[in-house]
Amino acid sequence: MATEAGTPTFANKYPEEASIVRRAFLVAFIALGVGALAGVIQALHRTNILRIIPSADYYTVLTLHGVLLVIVFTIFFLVGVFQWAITRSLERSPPNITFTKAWLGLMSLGSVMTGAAIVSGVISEVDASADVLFTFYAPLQAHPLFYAGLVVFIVGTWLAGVDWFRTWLGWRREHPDERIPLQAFMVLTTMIMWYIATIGVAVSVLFFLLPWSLGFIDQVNPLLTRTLFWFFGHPVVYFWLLPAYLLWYTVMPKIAGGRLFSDPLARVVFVLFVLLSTPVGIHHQYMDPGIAQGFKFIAMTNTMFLLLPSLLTAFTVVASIEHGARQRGGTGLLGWLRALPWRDPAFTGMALAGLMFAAGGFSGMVNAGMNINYLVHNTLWVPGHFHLTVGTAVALTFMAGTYWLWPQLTNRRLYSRPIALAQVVLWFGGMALMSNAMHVSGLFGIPRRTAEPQYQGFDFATTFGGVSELNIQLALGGTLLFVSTLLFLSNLALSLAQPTRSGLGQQLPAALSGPEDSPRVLDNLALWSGIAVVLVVLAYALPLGSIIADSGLLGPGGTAYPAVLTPDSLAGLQAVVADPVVRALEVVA
Amino acid sequence: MSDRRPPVRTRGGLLVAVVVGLVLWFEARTVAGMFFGVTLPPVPYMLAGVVVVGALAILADVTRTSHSARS
Repeated sequence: MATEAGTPTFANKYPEEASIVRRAFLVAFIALGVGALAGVIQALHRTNILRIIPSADYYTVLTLHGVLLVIVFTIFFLVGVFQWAITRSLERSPPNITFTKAWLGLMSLGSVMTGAAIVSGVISEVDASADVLFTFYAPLQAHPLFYAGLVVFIVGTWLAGVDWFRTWLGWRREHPDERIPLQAFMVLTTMIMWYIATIGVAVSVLFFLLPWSLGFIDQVNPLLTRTLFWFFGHPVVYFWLLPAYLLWYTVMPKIAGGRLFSDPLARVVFVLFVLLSTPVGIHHQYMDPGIAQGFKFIAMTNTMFLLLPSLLTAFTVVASIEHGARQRGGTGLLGWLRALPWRDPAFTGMALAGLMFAAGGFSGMVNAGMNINYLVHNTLWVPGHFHLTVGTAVALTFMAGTYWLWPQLTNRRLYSRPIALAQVVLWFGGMALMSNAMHVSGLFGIPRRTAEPQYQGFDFATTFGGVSELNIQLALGGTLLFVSTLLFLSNLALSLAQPTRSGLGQQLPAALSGPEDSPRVLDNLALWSGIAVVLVVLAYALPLGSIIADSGLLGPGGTAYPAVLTPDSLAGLQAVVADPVVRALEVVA
Repeated sequence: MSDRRPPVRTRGGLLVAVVVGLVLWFEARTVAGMFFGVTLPPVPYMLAGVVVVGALAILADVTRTSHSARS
């Protein structure tokens, strides 16, 4: 990895902030290790190759795998990267470092509380469990500690956002006419999206699930808690993804030897995610009775619009690395690919993650289509899809990004770059095997989330292989992924013993087309926040009103049919949605 | 825009190309099975893939080495 003499590292320039980032990464990587262990246990268990847990504990392990990897690992890494990005791009420390430490402490406390509730499920002496999986809506109920931990964790993330907005406001007072630096813009827009998205989960947990778990209320409306969960459950996907985008847009072109192709396009992409991430969650509920088909159709349409920022990203990132390759002497229509720094694990990991993300996008389109979704709903196809997106595009980018960030945060070289390169390539190969097997299994209707799907003796006569071969692929892929995780963690652990040295600092170059080439309105965060809220209201007011009108806030669930709006349900909607709004307006007036 | 620098070509690219090639070969079997109903036995098929992709990689490396020697 080329370094630039005279450039201080982040750790040199901002030692306290670097310490915060390292602590966030430490929690993230502990979660990664435990979550990966839970993953390989499941992969070997459900394929009946190695069973070290009773099947009754399968859901505890599955919940641990899901929560640790998609909440703790991803979001702790996110706050670390965002703290690094906001500090370095604004060249400004947080207003109060004690506040920064406080939100990180809150997030850690919340994670421990939630993790303890989950692990209690396998300790027979403790009368508590939280086998509710990552999708923690009713009717499954967890111990109150699980929900309380989530509340503390999410409040921690909100305060992290407050910290970054305060840092930006301080910067803006001193630079009133300047455009928001790109990395800071990415952090702030992502947090706006997060604030909007977490409204759903906050209402669900605070008003329904936690009181229900504590025994304050007897029952909740399962459809309502599902809908509120997915209000949050889809945009959280972009919360995981956008830090990976930040690394693809701002770090990857530098490693490739070039510069970001277009700063304006990057801003447009992040604005589109603010606008479109949340009003799509109902596409996870195509099979739910009680929600009219029209609302599902609107969610599908919005979801398809989300392909646009992903396609823009594919274009911009590839253009940026092509520019880098040509700066390094690459020529020809595709010959420039040979000039890229493939020996650099940071670059290769991010490039392979991007490649896998393309495949994940294709399977995501199948999930998003109302008609085709019915074929794959609740089958192993769905985990096959999100192991390509969050499991590779996000996780592999985070690991590869760590290889680049590590010297900046510690002033130490990585222990072994060849091991790091092998690790990212192993992840790619392992995921290809596992995800392929999951997708194919799903097409044949093999369910997800079960410890006993052996289908022994069953044969798919019209296609290749059979269930046994798919199981071998899945188990082999899962094992390779676990080995890759161990290589990553041990490489980092050994890196701690490397001597500190100077001269490891690196700068990020300006974009080829900078912010001056885009309209200033792109930086109007209040405008985009307002439009995003309006879109969310348009997408959710009627469905939520309809659910409440149909079965009440705490009802046992409404009637499944009709699946379209009727005059009766519209009358109910008026009572639930329109009348309170009119009364509120009268009070205001 | 900075000046062009001399070509930097690495064997890391060869490793990645081989792995990506093998994954594409592997996925081609899925396509053959699911779209065309052609059953290909996994072990001989993948061994053939290793031979084909390996041969292509060696060819690419030889081409690159001779190109570097000329220039």
